[in-house]
Amino acid sequence: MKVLLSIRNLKTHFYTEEGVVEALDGVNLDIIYGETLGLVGETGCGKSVTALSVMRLIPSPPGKIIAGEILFEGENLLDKSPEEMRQIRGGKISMIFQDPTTSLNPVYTIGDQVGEAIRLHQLTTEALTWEKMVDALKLVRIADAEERATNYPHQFSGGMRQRAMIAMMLSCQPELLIADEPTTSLDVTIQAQVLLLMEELQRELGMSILLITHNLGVVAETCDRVGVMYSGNVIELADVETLFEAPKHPYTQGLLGSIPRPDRDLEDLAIIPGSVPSLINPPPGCRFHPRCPYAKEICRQEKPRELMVEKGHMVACHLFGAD
Amino acid sequence: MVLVEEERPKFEFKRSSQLQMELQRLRRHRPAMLGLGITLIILVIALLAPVIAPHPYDEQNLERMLAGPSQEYPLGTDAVGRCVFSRIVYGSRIAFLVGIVVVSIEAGIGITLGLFAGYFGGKLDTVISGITDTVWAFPPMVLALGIVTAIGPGLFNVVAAISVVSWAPFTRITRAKVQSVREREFVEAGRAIGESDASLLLRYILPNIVAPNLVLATLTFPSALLTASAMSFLGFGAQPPSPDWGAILSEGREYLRFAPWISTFPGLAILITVLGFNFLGDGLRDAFDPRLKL
Repeated sequence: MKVLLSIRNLKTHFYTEEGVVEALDGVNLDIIYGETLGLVGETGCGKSVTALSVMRLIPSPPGKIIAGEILFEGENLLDKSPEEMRQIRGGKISMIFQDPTTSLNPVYTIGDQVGEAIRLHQLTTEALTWEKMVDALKLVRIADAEERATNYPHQFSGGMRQRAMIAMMLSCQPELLIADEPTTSLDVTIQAQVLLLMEELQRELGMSILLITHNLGVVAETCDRVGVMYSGNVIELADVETLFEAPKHPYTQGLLGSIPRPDRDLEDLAIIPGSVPSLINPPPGCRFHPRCPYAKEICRQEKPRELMVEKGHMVACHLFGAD
Repeated sequence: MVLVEEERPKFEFKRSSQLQMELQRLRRHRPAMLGLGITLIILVIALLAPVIAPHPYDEQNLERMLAGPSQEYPLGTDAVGRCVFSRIVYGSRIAFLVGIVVVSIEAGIGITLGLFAGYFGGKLDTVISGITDTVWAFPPMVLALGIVTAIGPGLFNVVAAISVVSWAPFTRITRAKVQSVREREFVEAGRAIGESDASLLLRYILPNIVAPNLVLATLTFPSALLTASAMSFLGFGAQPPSPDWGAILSEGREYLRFAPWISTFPGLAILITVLGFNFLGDGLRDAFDPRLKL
């Protein structure tokens, strides 16, 4: 259990005209070598901000990381100079994005773009770059890679573009791949292909993956461990089976209860009352308490500590720990 | 599900970039091709002026002053016996030079400022946009006249004055386009593989803002030409014996009643050139517009 990336008490705030948006409110997260860690939660709960904070790509202004540390292989990324960060991005940590239709530059060929990552991070000749680029395209199962490399993005289908994107991000064999909703804009069959491909590549290259999604089905299929985020906090973290079979946090229970299942009536579908709180002036204490059916007095006043209820199962909730 | 590279017949993929598709659309646009034709013909005339013109543009024939069109002087002669046709032919060189220089300077200033304002935003954007709006607020002709009055007449000064007063559209278009391209995910992706700001600006964003600027440049060319001609007409621009179209027009004005050919033909030359460029610009705009798939 060697930890590759360790996020400690990370606070990222955005200073807007309406007030300070406390997007991350002390996030703790460890990613172990070779694992796939899922990060789930509703829109606006801070999943993407966590990813962008790790990449140090938070738009600033208005965003700012105000506290915490991000230890990658033991070194704090927040102490790195912009120059050092550029070496790390694409070299050791890569990121793939949600929408493959806009994540490739329309004016360059696929080969140019996949080769660019290699050119930036490795000292090679043009001929060698081309070879490595073709290898990367073959790795993501693009047929006729040699010819296809001379195509422009508009000549690729959505799934192929996302695979080309993966090729670009994996061409320098990163230690950590951050995938921010990599399959959300693809149709279901292509989703399955891309996820399977990522799994296979992980086995081949031995990297860790941080998979951000709001699709619990995807998590169940691909992840080793899962973190659940709510309003800027990781509120529960466990391995996949534990989380799906014995969720502890009322929010996680609500989230899992709200997945429609073909064997049950739609009327039984559980809903979580209320909606995600504003991140400007969030509720005091536990941020989930206004929506929580079990809320107690202490929930309104004190932020719950992170508690290990059993080995490898963390919950941040006042319902646990008192006993 | 197994993903394997299957054995299958190979397809030939035609290398077709966005630009190539756009040029193909342009080729089907009739007015644009007409405009391109006119533009190219005038360009050839300008390049081959000494071959085409029957006389040097400043050669006087004092025995044939104000003579009507004839075999020797196809478009007649002016008040000092110079061949109007030859002068117009040589004048195309000035027209092209003025247009190209003005457009290059304007685009250079405008695109650079627009790139910085759009990409970095914040205070820099406020300052640049403020300057742009201020410059835009002045009628270009009046401001250019003011500058020329201050620094003295002459073609070079006119070119400088026009360039300095009308780069604002380039800045605005570039800034707006950069702001939208900047948010596209491929720029984020570029950052995620460790690209520098300079590289993002020049290699990711710049190629994606060329199209609207190319259209604007094509449409700015004729307006630069018109302004320069007007300044020459007013006597601030090209000085005699320079065969500037505006200047010839102005010289012929006094003789309009009994030697109309002196002013008419340079006027026509200006009209045709401006029309040609406008057609071409319109066609480019249609070809580059992604919503219009012709």
